[in-house]
Amino acid sequence: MGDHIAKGQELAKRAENKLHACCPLFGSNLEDAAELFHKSATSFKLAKSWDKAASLFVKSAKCHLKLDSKYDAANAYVDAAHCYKKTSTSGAISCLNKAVTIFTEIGRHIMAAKYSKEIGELYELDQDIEHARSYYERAAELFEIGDAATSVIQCKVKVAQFCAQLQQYQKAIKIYEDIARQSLDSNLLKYGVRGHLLNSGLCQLVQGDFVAITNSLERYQDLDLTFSRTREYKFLADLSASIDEGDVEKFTRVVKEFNSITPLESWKSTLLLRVKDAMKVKEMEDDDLT
Amino acid sequence: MFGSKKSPLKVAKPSSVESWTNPFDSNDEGMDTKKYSSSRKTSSERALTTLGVNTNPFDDGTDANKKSSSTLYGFQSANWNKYKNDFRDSGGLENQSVQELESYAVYKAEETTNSVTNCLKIAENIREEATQTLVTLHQQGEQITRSHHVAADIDHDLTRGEKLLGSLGGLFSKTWKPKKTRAITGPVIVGDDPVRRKGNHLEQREKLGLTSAPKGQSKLRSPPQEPTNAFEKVEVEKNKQDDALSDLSDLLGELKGMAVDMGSEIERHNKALNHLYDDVDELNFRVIGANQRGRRLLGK
Repeated sequence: MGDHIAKGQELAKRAENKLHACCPLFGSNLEDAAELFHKSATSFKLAKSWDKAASLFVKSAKCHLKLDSKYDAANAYVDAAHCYKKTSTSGAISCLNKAVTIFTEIGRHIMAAKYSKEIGELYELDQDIEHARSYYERAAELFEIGDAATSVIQCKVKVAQFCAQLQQYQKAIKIYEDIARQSLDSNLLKYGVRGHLLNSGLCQLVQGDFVAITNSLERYQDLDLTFSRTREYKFLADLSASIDEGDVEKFTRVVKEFNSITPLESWKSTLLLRVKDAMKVKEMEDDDLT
Repeated sequence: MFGSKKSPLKVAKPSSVESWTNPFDSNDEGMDTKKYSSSRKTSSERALTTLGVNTNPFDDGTDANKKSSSTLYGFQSANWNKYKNDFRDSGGLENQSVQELESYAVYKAEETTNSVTNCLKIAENIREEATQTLVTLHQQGEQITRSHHVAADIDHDLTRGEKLLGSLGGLFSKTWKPKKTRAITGPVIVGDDPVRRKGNHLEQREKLGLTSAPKGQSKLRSPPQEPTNAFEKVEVEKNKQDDALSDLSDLLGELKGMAVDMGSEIERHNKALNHLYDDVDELNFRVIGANQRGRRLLGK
């Protein structure tokens, strides 16, 4: 461990000397400095000195930018971000952002999308849903430019989920329905349609417009003729009926029954809790009236 | 929020519903809506899981092995043990009273229901995983195509490089022509299997009216009345089993379709990879030739 640090410091010193050398006649100093910074960063990485390694990767990236080798600069920023991930999320996000900008500039859209998605994941871990959504959205756009349809769908699914969590239900519904329509055209993706339609239906339920829910269920059946035979359809239909009847206990029983076979993700549970709370409020109002 | 009117007269609920604990009625009522839980498990969630604390408000906390419904019928664990070893300790089946045998029949029916439900749960999990696998396969197919496009781009750039290498050299040097064994084809687009596409498809079957369940029919989920005698209890369990087996049958049919689709997709990938391999091999051969030419020029 100690020798890695010593080696790293030695290489860093040499890199700094190359950078501030007065006479750049003998060879390309910037190129050498970039390489030495990279080697130094790798040594610190081996010593698990993450912050130091990250800062040296950033220096290497700056040297590459001066040399106009943007691809190498972007990769150095990515390396820096992966070191920062261990200590500082904000540092990692900052470096990845720079990498995304460079990759976009040089037309490496899929690489840019990949790291944009990574930023989204970091924000998601930090529970910053708003930022996570915007970066996943950006990733989806970049994947679309790069012609990676499946990755576009995966990112859009996350965007829709975040929209639902942020109570932007109409947007979430639109995304889920679009994805379902797209997926039906593929022999491989058609099996995921029922899941997307379920998510869309749950967003409809939270809005609480019974007519809209009924219309949506009919529309989903027309969209995917096999949907009416699925457990997801029955689940949505039963939930819809229990909401219409204002029967909280039936609603709970239906959810529990579905959950016993297919465990619900936490965000779906949150949506259903919102529906239940609204039903309880409605029930109280009705009781007050009688 | 919900515009529907609710009549003040409430229909009496079956006792089973009354006894059933509401998974929502917990501390979640005053939940802070500003904090949103991510789909990934946080460290605290993981800790809760390991401690055996349930984070999902809909989970009733019963294991698959625990017979939840048997408590409704008032069976004691002592009876369970008796039933489990088929009355071996108490003189065998022949020496039991009718009441004991009725209870035993109910117990066995419940046990079967639980087994079928567990099978359904496992099948659902498999389906979930298979769906993810299909998405990954689709992604992989796209990546193969993209890689092949890149190979075609490399071919284009290499051709320009070869022209430059050919024009280099002394005035009297022999003109260099790169060796090419075959042309780079680029990605060969193979569509979905037409047989699968046109014929044996669930939607086509639905249109032809070949499927069993009528459109838009939802199973009656609320239990009609609490069963009174053993015969009724067994009938209720049989109905549950029928429903679960019907769902299981549909699921297995779908899993078969998924397996076929996986197979045909992997076959397509193999063909695409063969084409890619041929092109990359040709590119490799040409790069070696270009390197040799470069070395020769530098050696002069």
